Amino acid sequence: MVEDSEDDARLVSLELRRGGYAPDLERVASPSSLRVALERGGWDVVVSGHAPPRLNGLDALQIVRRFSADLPFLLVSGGLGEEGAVDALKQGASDFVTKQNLGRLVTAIARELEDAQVRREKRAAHEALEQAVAARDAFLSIASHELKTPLTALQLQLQSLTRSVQQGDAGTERVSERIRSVARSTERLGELVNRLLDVSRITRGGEMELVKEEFDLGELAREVASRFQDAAAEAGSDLRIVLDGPVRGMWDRMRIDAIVTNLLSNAVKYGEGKSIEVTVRAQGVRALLEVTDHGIGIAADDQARIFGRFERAVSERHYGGFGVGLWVARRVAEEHGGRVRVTSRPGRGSTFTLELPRENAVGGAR
Amino acid sequence: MSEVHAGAAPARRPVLVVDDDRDIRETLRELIEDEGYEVATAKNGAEALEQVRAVRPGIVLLDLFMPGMDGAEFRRLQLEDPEIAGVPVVVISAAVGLEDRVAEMRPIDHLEKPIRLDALLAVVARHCR
Repeated sequence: MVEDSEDDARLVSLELRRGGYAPDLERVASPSSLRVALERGGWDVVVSGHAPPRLNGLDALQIVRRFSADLPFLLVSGGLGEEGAVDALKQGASDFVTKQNLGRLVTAIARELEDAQVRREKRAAHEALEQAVAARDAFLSIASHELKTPLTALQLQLQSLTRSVQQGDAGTERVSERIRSVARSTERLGELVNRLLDVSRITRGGEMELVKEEFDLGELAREVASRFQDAAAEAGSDLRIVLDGPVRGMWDRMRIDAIVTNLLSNAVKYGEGKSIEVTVRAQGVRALLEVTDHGIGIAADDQARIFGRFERAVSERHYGGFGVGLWVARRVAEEHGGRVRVTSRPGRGSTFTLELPRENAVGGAR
Repeated sequence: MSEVHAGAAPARRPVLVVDDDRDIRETLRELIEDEGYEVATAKNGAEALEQVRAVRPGIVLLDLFMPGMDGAEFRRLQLEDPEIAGVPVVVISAAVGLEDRVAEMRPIDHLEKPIRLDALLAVVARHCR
């Protein structure tokens, strides 16, 4: 409350109490004390007299507006004519009440508080929307970069193939090899597009239809690992798989395959050429698949974040990928009633564990 | 030290291809070798520095984003070393909106992925005689 007169302040306070408010009221009478109070924050509304000697209402209004465009500002005045009132409203006052009609103060404040609340909610919604749009933009630019890489390979391979054929090499091993590379790149592009679709599907509805069938998680791990032998060897990593008998369950085979693929591709990418182990075992009602690398590791602060969407612990300039793999993995595991977790030490490597329930397996509890 | 290879056969300078994607790297190698050039490859900036020092290429075809040392860091270290600073670099990038960052690297050319092969071979021909 900006008011010089103790009495006027008491009057306003009384009126507020009668209206059912229990105001935490502070009276300020100078520009500096007004600023101090505003800095401290926590105010719902400013009520100001029109012409306190040391700080008139319009000056107070300017100070408040410089501080916040939103904080409701009500002018209480005895001698403010119609023109003065219009002037104050033009300059950003929320409302004005005459001293003769102080009873209107409570309704005016109630409406201003409500309006301020609506404005806050609108702004929060707007900010959330802007953030979502920014995240999507970042994702699109990463996605286009990721798609361009296999597309470039494909396009170069096709040019190379075309040249071979033009040179009359058709039917030779050289041409067959080039056709195989083209097929490989096409597959890679297809996989990327599928992963993109998965992301947009999960983002939109959250619903994910699992296609469950019974299979051995160890056998699947071996399959995925065999696909990674070349990439691991190229990175200089020794890729070992440790199985402890069959671990069967009812899961979505394609989606679990995608999770294991993602974990292994991360292990190769961040493994710094050190050895990588994949183990699969049963533990009570759970099936556990662990992928361990001894590479760059993940700082404690980043360990929860990497399971978020569009997140990665490192810059995408150095490591490719959408930054959505672990997020999708987490969502798919949760949809199965399981989870994905990580233990890691920077510079020492990481262990990612996929936990899935086994009770749905034939001969199991359900 | 003299740069002149006295008495050596007038061989064309090799081309250094730097890209972390194996398919791109190997296909570029095939295509450029088909044109009669010698090709060396590297999959990140650190390997590229070694190769530039070892084979003295006539040109470096440089990808930007690679695990470990990226293209920009390679270029910075290359320019710091007077022995190899003069080797021309063509930046090949897949990401959009990087023009400023690429310009800072002072390449002789900037090609965007997907790559136009005729443009690429033309630059190579100009610098590897």
